[in-house]
Amino acid sequence: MRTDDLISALATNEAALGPAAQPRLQWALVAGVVSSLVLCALFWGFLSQLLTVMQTPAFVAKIGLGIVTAALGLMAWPAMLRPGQPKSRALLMVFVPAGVVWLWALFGTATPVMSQAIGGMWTTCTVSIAALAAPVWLWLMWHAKHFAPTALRQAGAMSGAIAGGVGAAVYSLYCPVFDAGYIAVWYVLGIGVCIAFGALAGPRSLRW
Amino acid sequence: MTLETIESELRALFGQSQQGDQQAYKKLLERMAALVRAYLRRRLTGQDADVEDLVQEVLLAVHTKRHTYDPNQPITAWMHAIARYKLIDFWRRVQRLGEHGLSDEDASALVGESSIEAFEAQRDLTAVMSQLSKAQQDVIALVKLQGVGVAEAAQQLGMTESAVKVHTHRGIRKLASLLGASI
Repeated sequence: MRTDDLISALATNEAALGPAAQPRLQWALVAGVVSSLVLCALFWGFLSQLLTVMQTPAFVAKIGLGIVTAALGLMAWPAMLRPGQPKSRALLMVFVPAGVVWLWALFGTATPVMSQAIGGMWTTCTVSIAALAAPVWLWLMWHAKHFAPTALRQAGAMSGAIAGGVGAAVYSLYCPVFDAGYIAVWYVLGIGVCIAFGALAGPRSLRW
Repeated sequence: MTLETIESELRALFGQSQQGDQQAYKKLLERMAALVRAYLRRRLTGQDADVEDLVQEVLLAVHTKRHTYDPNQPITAWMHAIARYKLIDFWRRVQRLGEHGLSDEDASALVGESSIEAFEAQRDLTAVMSQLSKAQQDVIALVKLQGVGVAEAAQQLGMTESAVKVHTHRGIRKLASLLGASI
């Protein structure tokens, strides 16, 4: 096909003109969070005394780590999907909540971090967070399909941070362990695994 | 033509086509095709068929992904980022046949980061070229920039082949000294 013919075909296509519809991020996010919650209800369950536990600072810190990480990622996500947006340092920002939790574990508690970390369901915590992040990540990939990310590795890492954050927040509704060192090691590792996976998978799964 | 005038022209055409103006949209795509073609030709010398395929891919991407343009950003930066992405994607496809993949860092090194640079290079060259004689400008544009053969250039310009060679040689030497002086 000649380029001139292509241009004429595109320009005379009635549907081409005017702004194109695009799926809203809110819907992808709601779908991701709901699927993650359903997955958690089916295979993990929720804390039985959730309503009383919710008021403890340790629970707030635990769920807050996930929510704030996901929120920081979401703030940078739309720019990642548009070509020619200036590069931001947003990817560094998603590590800030993890840093805060580490400060709490190192200086806010008397026992050493590693002795807090061993215990509870520490062997499955990280894997569970990654598993609960998976549906969120798939919805983010669906959302990204309608856009045009150009830095695929960065965008992939960011999608991992968002999904990992949501996964960690959902998992904290089930997880009965509240030690700072436990959260600093296994929760942060769970989110980190998601970021690494996103960065590895991004160039393939975000290609358009 | 400076980057600012390209920017304002494309921006105006984009705005009109969003209002449903088919002629403006056609003109926008034609202008973009020319700019993208020039950008790709500098990076894929002697691969004119690939360049044209990529120009069409970029136009299709501009068309199907036009909602990703944010009116607050320069439209040239948006278009350039798409062209750059498609070029890197093309190199990756080619390299997949070979042994080594192309990392993001390698790709950036090959393509360059700045969206301005692509147009600046054109503008610098135009400025320097204007200091050559008319004959020298003509032969260099044909032989060195468009890759036309010496015989064909001679025919197009109505010169002998040896005259083309002499003008090319002298023009290149003049360019080298001009560019050397400005560095």
